[in-house]
Amino acid sequence: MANVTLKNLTKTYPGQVTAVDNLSLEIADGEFLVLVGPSGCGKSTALKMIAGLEPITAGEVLIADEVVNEYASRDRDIAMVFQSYALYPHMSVFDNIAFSLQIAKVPKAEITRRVGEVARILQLEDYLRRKPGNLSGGQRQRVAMGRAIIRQPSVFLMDEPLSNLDAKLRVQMRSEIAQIQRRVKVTTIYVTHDQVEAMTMGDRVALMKDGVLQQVDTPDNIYNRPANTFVASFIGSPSMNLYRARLEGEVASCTLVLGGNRLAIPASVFADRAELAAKIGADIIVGLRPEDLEDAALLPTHPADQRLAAHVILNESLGSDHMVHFPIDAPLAKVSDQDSLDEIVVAEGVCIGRFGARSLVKAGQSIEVAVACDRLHFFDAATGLAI
Amino acid sequence: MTALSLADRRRRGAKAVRTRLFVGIARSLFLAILSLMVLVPIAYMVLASFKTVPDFFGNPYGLPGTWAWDNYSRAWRDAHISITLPNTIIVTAVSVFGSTLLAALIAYGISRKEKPFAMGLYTFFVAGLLVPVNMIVLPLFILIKWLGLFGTLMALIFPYIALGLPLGVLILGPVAATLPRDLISAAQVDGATEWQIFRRIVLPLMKPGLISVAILNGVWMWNEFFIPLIVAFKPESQTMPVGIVSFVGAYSTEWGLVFASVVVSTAPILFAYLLMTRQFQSGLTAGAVKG
Repeated sequence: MANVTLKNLTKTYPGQVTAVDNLSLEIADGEFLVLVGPSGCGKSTALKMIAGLEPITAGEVLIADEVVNEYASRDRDIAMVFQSYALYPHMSVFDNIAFSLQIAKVPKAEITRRVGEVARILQLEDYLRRKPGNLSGGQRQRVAMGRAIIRQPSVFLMDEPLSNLDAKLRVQMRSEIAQIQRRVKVTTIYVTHDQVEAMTMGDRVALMKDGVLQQVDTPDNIYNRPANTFVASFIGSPSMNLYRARLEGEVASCTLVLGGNRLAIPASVFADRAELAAKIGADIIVGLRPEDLEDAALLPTHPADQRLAAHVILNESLGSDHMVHFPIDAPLAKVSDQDSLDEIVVAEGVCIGRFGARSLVKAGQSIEVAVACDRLHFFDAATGLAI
Repeated sequence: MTALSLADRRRRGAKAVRTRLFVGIARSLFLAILSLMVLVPIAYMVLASFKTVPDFFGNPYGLPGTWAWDNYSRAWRDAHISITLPNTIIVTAVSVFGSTLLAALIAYGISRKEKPFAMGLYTFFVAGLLVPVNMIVLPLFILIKWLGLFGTLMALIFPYIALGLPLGVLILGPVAATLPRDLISAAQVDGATEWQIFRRIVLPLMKPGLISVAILNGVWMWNEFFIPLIVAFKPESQTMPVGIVSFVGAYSTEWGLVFASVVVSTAPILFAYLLMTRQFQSGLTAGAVKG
């Protein structure tokens, strides 16, 4: 067991391409930290630097308070699960799991005992003689986990280990990995681009973009208190609707001008955000989570001054709720995340609301949308930082 | 679109069957001719090895009039096969092992792209294929004399290893380049040293390529005539191709003995190829397409 510290970790490739820029993180002993971000944000590079598989340009990696920059991978007391599983195809499942112990010249009886134990935990006992080529995706994934567990390392590093599995198996393995981590209590750094994995598995989530750490916090705080517009739009599906808007009036009776709509902002919103009052009269970016928008027909008592007039262009019924698309005539707040499909929708000026299952709205209808104005998110129009 | 009548469809079906039949026959004929081009010389060699000299000239293409089995015992004795065969086996085995292992090391090293000049190194080694043996034989002669290796098998082993490298690197380079990088990283994290990674991960994964290199290099090393003729002229260090030539005289040649020696010389290579055909073929195509 060990804590991991990253101090101003930087990776620059030839041609001055900076993959990781001044990354500083403190991961506590036994903690499960998820490093998340879009493709090319530098999360895998950061993980490889921690693993000793990628030279460090600047900064320090500390494992158990010891600087390991110059240590080879084998001397860092880590185990890693790769996206491709990286199982040795010419070896049996037994040998794959036992490889690190064989290298360390552990006695054969001890190897057999430990492999048996790991195989039992991971339900691989019937497959020990098989080659990886004869296993299903889920079984291969478990072998890769077994290879990591058997070493009893101080730190687990996982590089998108579930991305090659189908959706159903991914859900199953997600909970299995989380349970195994809780059981063995080994410090874990888990890289993914999947926000669902990030939100459900980690004790804390570190979100990166273009090599720069955007926010590191608990999943709840990341979701409810995003540090900037990028975090706000990346976490959550469908992503947060972000528009340029203006606050008018005063704290006690403030109005948000959102295109042709006007929304009353409760005074309690200002109580939580000391700097927001200073933005009255100025342009801001407002964020509306889809679940904070509701079909007003379902909320007859909702204040009339906290409603939007909308024309529905699409209703995607999911059974449990409806994803209702309607345009808002306010200017969009651009957030550069090319990987996000939601971004494309937002780029077309369409707002998405998650309406309750009982909503009867249909495409082509003009409706009123109830907005939970006490749950709006506000960002600085120039910097994109949360207010 | 107009629907085809049943008769039309039958006519088309029959035509397709005829076309398939014709293509099948043509293909079989073509393969039969190719097979004959390979098998006829082998059969001729085996039959000639059982003929006496008069029989060889009187009936060059038929079965032997009398089967001269003693050609083999005489060849074994007179052509010193008892010396040249072990020599050839030792020289070929050591050279094949050495050049294949070295080529694998070089190919793996070059495939780790972080090494600068990797492409230049690859080109440098593969360019060796363009150098004819005749061109290097004089400096080779001087070098071996200077090293004092005349009369030893090392006079053949060292040049063979060096000359086997270009083909080895040419074949193993692409094989090594397609080894998944994650496997190497996984082995590093698992605690393996560079040498352990090479021996336990890289070499087994390159096995088909290694077998191809071993067979291709083994064949020419086994059959090489020119280099042993120049640098291994002492009888105790001669290899089979040079020994066989001792039957070829200025005025008369014991063709039966020559062919008996050639059969003995060819058999091990043929046997090795038949044993490892599948690995050989997969080794040659390894790295050709992304797996």
